[in-house]
Amino acid sequence: MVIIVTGGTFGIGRAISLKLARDGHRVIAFGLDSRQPSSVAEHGTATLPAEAATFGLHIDTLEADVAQAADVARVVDFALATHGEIGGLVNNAAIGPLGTILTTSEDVWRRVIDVNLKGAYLASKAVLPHMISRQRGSIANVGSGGGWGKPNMLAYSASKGGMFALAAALAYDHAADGIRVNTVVPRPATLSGMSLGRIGGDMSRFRPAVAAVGRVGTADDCANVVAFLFSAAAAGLNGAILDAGSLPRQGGPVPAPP
Amino acid sequence: MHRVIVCGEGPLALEIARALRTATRDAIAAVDAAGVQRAIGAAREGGDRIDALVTVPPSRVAAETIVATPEPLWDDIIERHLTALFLACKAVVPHLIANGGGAIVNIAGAAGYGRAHRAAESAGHGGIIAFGAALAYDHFHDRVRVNTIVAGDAASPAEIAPVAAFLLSAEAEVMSGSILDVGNIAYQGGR
Repeated sequence: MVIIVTGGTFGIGRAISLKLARDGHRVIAFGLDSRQPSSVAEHGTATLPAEAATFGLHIDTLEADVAQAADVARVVDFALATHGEIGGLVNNAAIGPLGTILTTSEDVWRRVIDVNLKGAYLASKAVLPHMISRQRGSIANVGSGGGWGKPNMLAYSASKGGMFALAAALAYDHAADGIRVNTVVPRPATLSGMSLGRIGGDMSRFRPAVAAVGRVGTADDCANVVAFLFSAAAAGLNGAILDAGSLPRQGGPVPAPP
Repeated sequence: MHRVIVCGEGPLALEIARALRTATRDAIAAVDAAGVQRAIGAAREGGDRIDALVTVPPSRVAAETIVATPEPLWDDIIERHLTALFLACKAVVPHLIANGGGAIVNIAGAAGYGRAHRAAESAGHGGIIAFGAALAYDHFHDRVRVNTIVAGDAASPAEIAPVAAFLLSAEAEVMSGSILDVGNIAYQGGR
């Protein structure tokens, strides 16, 4: 399958792109090479293909801004020109500056909504006609527990809650077109450009969370679940949230260890 | 060989057993908690262990609003939907803990989000969803993963079974406590 991954060159997106390529998909990953608000992601369009090559894999990367329709159109045109079709999309690109309503400026609010929510709208809108024409396709969103509302994550929570509803609405609208739309929620404290960016890039302050299986969850775990959505085994999933967070609907808290 | 007990009856239980065998797992059928106990005992005697449990709810029952649901029917529905699940999990959880971990997938119906004219059945399925979440929290540190599939009314056994197999697999080993809808119901039960 030909799959476009937004924000697919770094962090969780990088893990998703590599996993999909490993599964035999043709992957086009795009993102921005300069640092974005509250993220340490950078230079991914050059580093990801080089890394993929060390595994004998090929991943196409482009520098493009998911919040700009013209940039998204350029990526879609590239995918069609190179592979002739688009069967999958991963809406992964996101920024996550922290703050309450009092500390979130209008500029930050607009950028978070533009990247996280409008980006998913723009990318889905750009690929859907090509999926509808073939009566098949799968869109996987990378959501967040913030989508259920979390403290000090005002703009981010709003963007991710909107993403849940966007995915459900898309799922209903295009089920009859043979297109499935689902959302994967990664574990909290998955090491990524975003989670590291929120602590100023200081790894010594990073506190990974142990999963129910007894080890730290990683971006690769999220990538495995995303990749499942592009398999035949996931044919029955549409409009679903796959909570890979080990917290039912991110409610919590997990009890303290004995 | 991974050994999974599939507790329940009907086409869905059969399809899940088939999907698990395809995924090179030994699926052992059990009708109820007593059957789960027997399967655990047989595995122990053979020097084996049980790695996982999948529970399948009863098929849809003829039931009605609260006004039209007599108490004996309520008792029967809660017994077969919820208490049977409690007993099956109660049988297997100590065995999984002793093994150092394991996985449980419980299947609930979309009535668990509340449906008209299905008062008792809604309560039963809703109980399955909440029960799984509680079990996931309680045994998080025991490395017992518990996930719940909520099956839409239109979801077929062929759609549900591979998702259950995925939730038991290593690919999903950080997933616990998740409530995963199969079928186009978008976590509200609607269609």
